[in-house]
Amino acid sequence: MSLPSKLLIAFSSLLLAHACYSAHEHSLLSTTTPSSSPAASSSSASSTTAGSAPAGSSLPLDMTLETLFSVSLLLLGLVLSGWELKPISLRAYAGMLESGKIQPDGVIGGKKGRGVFDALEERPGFLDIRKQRKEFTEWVKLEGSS
Amino acid sequence: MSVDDVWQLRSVGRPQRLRDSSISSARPPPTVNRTAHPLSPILFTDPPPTMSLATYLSRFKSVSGSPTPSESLSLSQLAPSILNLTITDTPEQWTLYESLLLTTLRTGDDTSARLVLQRLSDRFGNSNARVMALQGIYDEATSSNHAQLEEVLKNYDEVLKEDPTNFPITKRRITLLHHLNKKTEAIAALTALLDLNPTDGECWSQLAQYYFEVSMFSQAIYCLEEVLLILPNAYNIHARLGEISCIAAETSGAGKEVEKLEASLRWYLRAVELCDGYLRGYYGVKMVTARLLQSKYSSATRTIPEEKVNKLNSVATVHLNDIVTGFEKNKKGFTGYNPAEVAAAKELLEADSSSS
Repeated sequence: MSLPSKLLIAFSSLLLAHACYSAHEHSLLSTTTPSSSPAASSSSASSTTAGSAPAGSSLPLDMTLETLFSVSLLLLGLVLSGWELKPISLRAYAGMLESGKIQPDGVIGGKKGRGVFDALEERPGFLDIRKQRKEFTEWVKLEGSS
Repeated sequence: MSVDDVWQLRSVGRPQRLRDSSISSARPPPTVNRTAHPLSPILFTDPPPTMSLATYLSRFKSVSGSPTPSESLSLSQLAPSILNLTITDTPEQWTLYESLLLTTLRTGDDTSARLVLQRLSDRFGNSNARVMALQGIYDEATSSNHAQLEEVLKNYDEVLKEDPTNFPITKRRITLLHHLNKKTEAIAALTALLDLNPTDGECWSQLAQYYFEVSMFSQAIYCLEEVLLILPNAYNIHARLGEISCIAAETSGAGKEVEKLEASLRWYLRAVELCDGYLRGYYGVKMVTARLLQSKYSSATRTIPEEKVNKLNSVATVHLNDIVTGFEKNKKGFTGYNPAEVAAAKELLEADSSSS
C-alpha cells in the first residue's frame, strides 16, 4: 500500500468519524432542547417544534456535505491503495504466464513459464511414450558415464 | 511380461475397489520397487517426504507435457508416497494418477505403472475409452520388440472394429503407426479421423507436424491455419506458422522466397501482438527481418517497405535485449523463460552485433 493512499484513507476516516460525531451531537441537541425547557413559553414553542422535526431534514448542510465528501475520499483511497490488479487481456495474461510472473491455477510456488496454448504443441493424445522412454534411458546412461 | 499377459491381466477386471488395503494385500507394497527396479540406485536415493494431494498435483502441473529427463526422474520418485496416500476418489486424485502413470512409464518404473493402471481400471472399468488408451500406452511402453508392438497395433484395430468412434484409441493407433515408421498410413488415418471430428485442434496440429516431417510445408501450413480457425488466439501456433513459412522460404524457388519470408514475418508479428514479451515471437521477428534486409533481395519484389522492416528489427532487438538481461540478472518477471531459448536469443543478438 502506497503512502499517499494510506494518508488519504486516514484523513477521510477521520473526516467521516467527525461527520458522524457532529450528526450525533446535533440530534442530541435537537431532542434535548425541548425537554430541558418543558415549561417553555408558547412563543418559543414554534421554534422547538421546528427543532424536533425529523432529524434528516434539519441536519445542517455542512454535515451532509462533510459525510459525502469523506465517503468519496475514503473510496478513492481504497481503490488507489495499490493492490495488484489481475490481467484481463489475453496479451497481458499470456505474457505474464510465459515469463513466469504468474502461475496457472493449482500450481504453488512454481517458477517455470507456461503458455496458454501449450497443449496444442505437446498433444497429450498423441504422446509417443516409447520415444520419451528412450530419451530417458539415454540420459541415464549419459549421467552414469559422466 | 509379454503383451498377451498384459491383455489377460486387463481382462481380469474385478469389481470396483476403492480401498488401498485390498490391493496392497494382493500385490507387494509399492516400496518393493526399490529393489525390483533396474535403475534403483539412481531412482531411489532418499525417501521422499510425504505431502498432500494438492502439493503433488501442483508439482505435476508445474512441468510441461514433455518434461526433461531430470524432471521426470524427480516426479517418478514420488510414486511410492503417492501410492501410499489413501484413495479419496476425487477428480484430483485420478488426474494425479494419470500423470503419475505417464511419468513412471517414462522413467521405466513399470511396477508402479502397473499398480496405478490397475487402480484406474478398477475404478473406471476396462471399457472406459480413456483407461483403454492408458492401457495402450502401457502396452506400447513395455513392449520389448517389434512383434509385440505389432500385436498392440492389432489389438487397437480390434477395438476400433467394435467401436470406430473411440477417439483416444484412434489417436494411440495413429501414434503407434507413426512410431513404426508407417508415416503415410499414419497421415491417412489421421485425415480419416479429422473427417469424423474436424473441430479437434490437437489432431490438426498433429497432422501439421506429420506433414512437416515429410517436408510437405504447404499442407502443414494449411493444417495449422485450421487450428487457428478453432482457436484464433493460439499465439504459439502463429509462431509455429512463422517458423514453417521461414523454413519453406529456404527450399522454395528464388522468386517465391521474399513472399514467404514476408508471410513468416506477418505470422510472427501476430504472435507478438497476442502475447506480451513472447520470446519465441521476438526471436522470429528479429531473424526474419535480418534475412529480409540482406542485400540479395531486390526491393522491387518486397511488399513491406524497407524502413518498416528496419524499424521492426530494432524493436525486436530491444525486446530481446530486455528479456536476455532480465533473465540473466534473475529479475522478477523474467525467471520463467526457457534457458535454452534465452541462450539462443543471446547468440542471435551477438551474431547480429558482430556483423553490423
